[in-house]
Amino acid sequence: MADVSDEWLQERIAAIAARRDRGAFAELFCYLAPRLQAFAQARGMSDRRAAEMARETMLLIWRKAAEFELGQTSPSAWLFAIARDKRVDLCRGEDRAHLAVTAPPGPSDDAGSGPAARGLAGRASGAVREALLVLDPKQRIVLEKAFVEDKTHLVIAAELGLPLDAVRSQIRLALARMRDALPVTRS
Amino acid sequence: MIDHHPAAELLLDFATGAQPQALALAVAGHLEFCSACRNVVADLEAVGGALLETLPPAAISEGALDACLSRLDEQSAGRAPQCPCAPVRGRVPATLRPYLSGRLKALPWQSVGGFFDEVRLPPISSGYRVSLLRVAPTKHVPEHAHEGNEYMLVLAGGYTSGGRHYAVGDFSECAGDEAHTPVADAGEDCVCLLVLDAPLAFRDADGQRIGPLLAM
Repeated sequence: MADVSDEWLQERIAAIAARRDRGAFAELFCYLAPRLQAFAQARGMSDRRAAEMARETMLLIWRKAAEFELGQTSPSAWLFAIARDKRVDLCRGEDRAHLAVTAPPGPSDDAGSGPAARGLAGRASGAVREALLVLDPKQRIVLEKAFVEDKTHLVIAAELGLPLDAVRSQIRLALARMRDALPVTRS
Repeated sequence: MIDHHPAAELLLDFATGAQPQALALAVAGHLEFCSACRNVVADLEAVGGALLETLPPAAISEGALDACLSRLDEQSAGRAPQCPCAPVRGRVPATLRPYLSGRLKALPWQSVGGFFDEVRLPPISSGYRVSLLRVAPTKHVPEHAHEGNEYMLVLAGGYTSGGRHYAVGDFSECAGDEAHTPVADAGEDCVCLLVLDAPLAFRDADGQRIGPLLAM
């Protein structure tokens, strides 16, 4: 199944949340499960465990659909966070539920928050996928090792033979370039 | 206003899930206070979503969808979703609630050699020591260097170290030989979350007394 749009993802998440729509779930499954399984295999999980990871993540999406709030984050980022937490749970036995920080801006908060002020998070995932294409191969490799292979910056620095400062600047540069590459929209 | 933030690589490791839970706790605690870093993590999660969606799809087994559909009606064993709430002054932040909760003043504080008080959290990640420290106004933590990394998040009050001031929500990372002597602000107790991945190396006689009390 080819790439889908944010609207396509949103509609299916909303249908699950509103009326427990199994048809919408099946469509979401056909798109996401093979990618979730690849995500688990990239971490070195066996085929059997990777299939379990894909299934458990899909079940979580079914249960959590009502928690998805448009405007807080894109559907793609929301799905990633669920998959990441499930992979951490299955690989390391750690529960990240209490680490999900969704605090609204409080009195101690900096100004300028909210999705409108955000860069990549408030944007269509298609635009974010395209922004990935502007990265240098070096930056892309750092991000892939981090997100897909679940490696810390220390492991990445060692694998690439880079000093820690260089990894830090690649991360910063990658985010800045991706934000710059987004199409201009009205705010 | 938050002046001191986790470095970019710590936010990355948090967003990818690769970070040990003990350290992720300190980063998540900072995020409760800091919308700027929350936005960076949200951006990173969007990058994660884009990378996940661009992975070449794996071949899934034929019965996978039916197996999943047949389990949709199972009761969720999960807990209620966390209430999104801003940190409340004087209380333990939401990210620490699996371990500690309630008012900071009411925690089971234990004196460390008469210099400061500590509440140690249960082991969270192997090789890490996680605790809350409480230093009385104008008191200091004896001079120390670091055999590994020290991560601190201010939860109440504030302190000065190496000419820099750290207030509620500020995050600091110290490592290596550069010794420091954090001094609490006047006026109120300074409470910090402290995450260590190696013992502190105390320098003077006072420090020698309390070093063993902070053993890993």
